[in-house]
Amino acid sequence: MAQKGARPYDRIGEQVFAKVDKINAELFTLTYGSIVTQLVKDYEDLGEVNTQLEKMGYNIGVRLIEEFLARSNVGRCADFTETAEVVAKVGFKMFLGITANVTDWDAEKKEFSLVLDDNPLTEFVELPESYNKLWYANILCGVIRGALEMVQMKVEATYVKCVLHGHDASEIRVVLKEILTDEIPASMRDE
Amino acid sequence: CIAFARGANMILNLYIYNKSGFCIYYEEWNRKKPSSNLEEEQKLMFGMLFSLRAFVTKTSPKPIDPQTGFHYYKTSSYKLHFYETPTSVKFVVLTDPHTPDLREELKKLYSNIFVEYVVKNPLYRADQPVKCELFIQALAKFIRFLPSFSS
Repeated sequence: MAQKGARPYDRIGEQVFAKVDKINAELFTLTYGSIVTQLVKDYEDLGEVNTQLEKMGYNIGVRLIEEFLARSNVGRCADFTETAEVVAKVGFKMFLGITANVTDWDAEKKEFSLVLDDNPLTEFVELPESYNKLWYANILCGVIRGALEMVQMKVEATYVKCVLHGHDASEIRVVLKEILTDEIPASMRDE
Repeated sequence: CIAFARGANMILNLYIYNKSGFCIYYEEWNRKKPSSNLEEEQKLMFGMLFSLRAFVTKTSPKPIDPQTGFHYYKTSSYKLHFYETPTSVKFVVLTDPHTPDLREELKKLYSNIFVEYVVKNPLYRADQPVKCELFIQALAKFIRFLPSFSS
């Protein structure tokens, strides 16, 4: 469902993407692939690998958001629906060169799906049957969670579909758990 | 110690606060009256700004964004400039009273220096004081080249 005012974000995404430094896509794909391979070797349990990927993503996300704000100049979003558009059209474009589609909002506008048609992380990757439990690009879920937490939104992001598992497109479900308010920071509270 | 011409534009000092309200960086260039207790002063500064921000938002005749609404305040002896990022990093700069609004400069300081040399430094952990050499050098260069800095 196209929303009025959703268009500008495509353009902003293009503009920012044009400005940023780029690296070779193969190098990026291979580097990520070797990270996942190493984690699989180290942890063996695929559920644990998913968790580790998400954690790594979180640590990336809390820093990535600052780079995003510095380069894109996007201000505060009016509501969660705007946040979704910014993540999909500007965020993903800036860092991965792709745009995602925002779909399947729930009634309260607190959950949505990010649908990715292609993803540089999974380019040329094939997952054997025995790796069905692995969400290969799970790092992205962590990145989304880390980045949004730094701008006062506590979310949960999980993969629900992945092209490596045979689906047509990959899908990440993002759920808003809580808006963090400006509580009095620790340094001001009486000991 | 930098000599300054009377009445010229001057940067006095800079505070950077993180989300939790800790002063992660402080530097002074032209401060005449040294602080008796720097840590105490930094806490007071944060507390004041925190309350001021809330007050400014409450008393505004029309809705304003609490993070960007307040730009600066001016007294007979100095001007305090304020910039807060959406990630709650706060930049506070004190200058002489005639310096124009430094909001754009503070934004550049954030984008080109803080993000580049602090956020992207893998050894820097949030809530730690900033000790990154490259940051300190880049910051010194940036401040010196501001039209508002007198040398």
